Amino acid sequence: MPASRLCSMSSRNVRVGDYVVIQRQCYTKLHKVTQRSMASLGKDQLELDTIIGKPFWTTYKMEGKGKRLFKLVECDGAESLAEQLIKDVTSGTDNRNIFDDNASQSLSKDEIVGLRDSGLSGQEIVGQLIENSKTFHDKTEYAQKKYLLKKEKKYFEYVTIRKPTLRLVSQIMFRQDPAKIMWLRMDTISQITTAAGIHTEGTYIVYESGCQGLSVASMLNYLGEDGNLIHIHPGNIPQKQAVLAMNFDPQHLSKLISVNVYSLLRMLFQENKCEDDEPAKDNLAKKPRWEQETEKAARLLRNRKVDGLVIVAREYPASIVMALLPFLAVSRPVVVYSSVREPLLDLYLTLKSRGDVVGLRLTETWLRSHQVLPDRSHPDILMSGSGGYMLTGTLVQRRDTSII
Amino acid sequence: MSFANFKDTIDEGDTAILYLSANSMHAIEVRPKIKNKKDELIENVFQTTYGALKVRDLIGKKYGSKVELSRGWAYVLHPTPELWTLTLPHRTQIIYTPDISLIIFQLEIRPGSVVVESGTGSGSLSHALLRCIKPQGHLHTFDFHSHRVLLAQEEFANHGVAEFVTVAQRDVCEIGFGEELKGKADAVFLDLPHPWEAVEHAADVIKESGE
Repeated sequence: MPASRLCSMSSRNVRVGDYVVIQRQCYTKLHKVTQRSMASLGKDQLELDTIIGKPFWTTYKMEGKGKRLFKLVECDGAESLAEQLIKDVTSGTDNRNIFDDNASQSLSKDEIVGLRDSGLSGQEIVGQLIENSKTFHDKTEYAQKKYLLKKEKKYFEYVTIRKPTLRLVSQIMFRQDPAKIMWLRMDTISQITTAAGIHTEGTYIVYESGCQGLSVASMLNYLGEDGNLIHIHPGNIPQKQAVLAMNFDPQHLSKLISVNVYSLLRMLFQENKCEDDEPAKDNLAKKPRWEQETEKAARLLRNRKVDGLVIVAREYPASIVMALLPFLAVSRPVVVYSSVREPLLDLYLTLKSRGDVVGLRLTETWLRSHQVLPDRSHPDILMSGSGGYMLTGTLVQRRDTSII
Repeated sequence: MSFANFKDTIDEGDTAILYLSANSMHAIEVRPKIKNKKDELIENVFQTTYGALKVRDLIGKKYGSKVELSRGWAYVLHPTPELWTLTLPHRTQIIYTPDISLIIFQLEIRPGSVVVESGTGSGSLSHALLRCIKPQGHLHTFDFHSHRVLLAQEEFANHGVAEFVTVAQRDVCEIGFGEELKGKADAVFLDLPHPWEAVEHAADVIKESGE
């Protein structure tokens, strides 16, 4: 399997059925492409049919068709509004003479809305706003740039179609609704996949309940096409949004086996059924898909122990960890994530008293982003409060036996 | 060998991690005899606070099992980039696992990626990058210090990952990454005293759509 196949994914064209990330300045949104798709970005509606068949990373200009509906036209690159308009503008030195009385803009709200609906370009609208502003020319250069960047956010008319990556997908999901993904922030995701020590040819178990498939997607991403990932979940239907959004190709996806926890454990511990692979083949066509998958997973687990165990559960993790630890090989990691700390504290003590998990560590990471501008670089004012907690450890030989 | 893929049993030449406690771990090259200061071959005995370990006794033991020391016991673990980061001999300040995780995540690399790194330093990040991109990917790593380049090459060879990495001595700020790498990299990582001097060169090396 040549490396070129894996790397050529980045230069693929957009196809119907793909997920794409629509980016307008800093705003990103996941969208599934259908034959006649329309995407809405805030209050604007975009017709997406022109992007089909074009490569990812193409930039399009939004051409107004009136009433906040836009057509996308391919172009070479976005042009910055701020740079276009700041060229021949005079500025003041400080704000001592600027009074904030809400009357600096002489265009009324209705007039501005009218400009927008008429399909004028973003640059023209902002140009009008500047012309009708009494105080713009008294502002300092920094203040003018800040004003223009603020307007640009509203009137920016370029979008870029990007290919979803783990980084993009996790950022978008965390920003849109962190509660849906158990507050799994992207730095914690990276800690989990590293702690699990994913090798491309290894076999891993991830128990996930309730983070939209994000932890599964992250492990599958680093697994490549030679390993195996068994996704164990409660309930009948696993959450898969993040996995779908990653556009994994079918060969890669085939490495993921999703099974219900009870079905799997029941199948594994019923010794009678265990050795008859032969008769099972006759009935293969009649068995429902979930049963086939469970058998596939059971066959994998009967022959070997896994190289890593990851648990990302909404439920109290203790019994899940105890039930799944027997499937982990020695000298391999176990990683448990929780959005709150207390369950992991209990689990830490339980595992420590078992005596066969060493190097137990309960950690939490902080993530802080910075604004980087000349003379104005500083950490962002708001920081995310929590990205969850992670308990890691390595399984070793049990104390009470010399058998591993 | 040890870092390339998981094994069950310790063989001669492996690097095994002796785990005494969470704060006390040592990477041991499993060789029955080593050279002492006078260049004579002597029995390889590793001293710890729980007593001595005859390193030859490790051969044939299973990873994850308990080993007896003269005044106690310890576990012997399979090497991983995380454990290596905590036990490797420092030649420079290294990058630790939390930062390594975020770097790999942000660079968007995966199995099969081609990565360019400078400077190599002590190889802490390099081992993690290798695990992520092998077997089809490749790591090109550069350092301007000749001895560090040599040590890194030796370590990669001892760890069984030499086929996935190329270490070269080069001042990438001055002369870039070389003609052969132009347009070949999926990702470039710079950890240098003056990284801005290498930015142009980095841009040359990146593929049409890469990080």
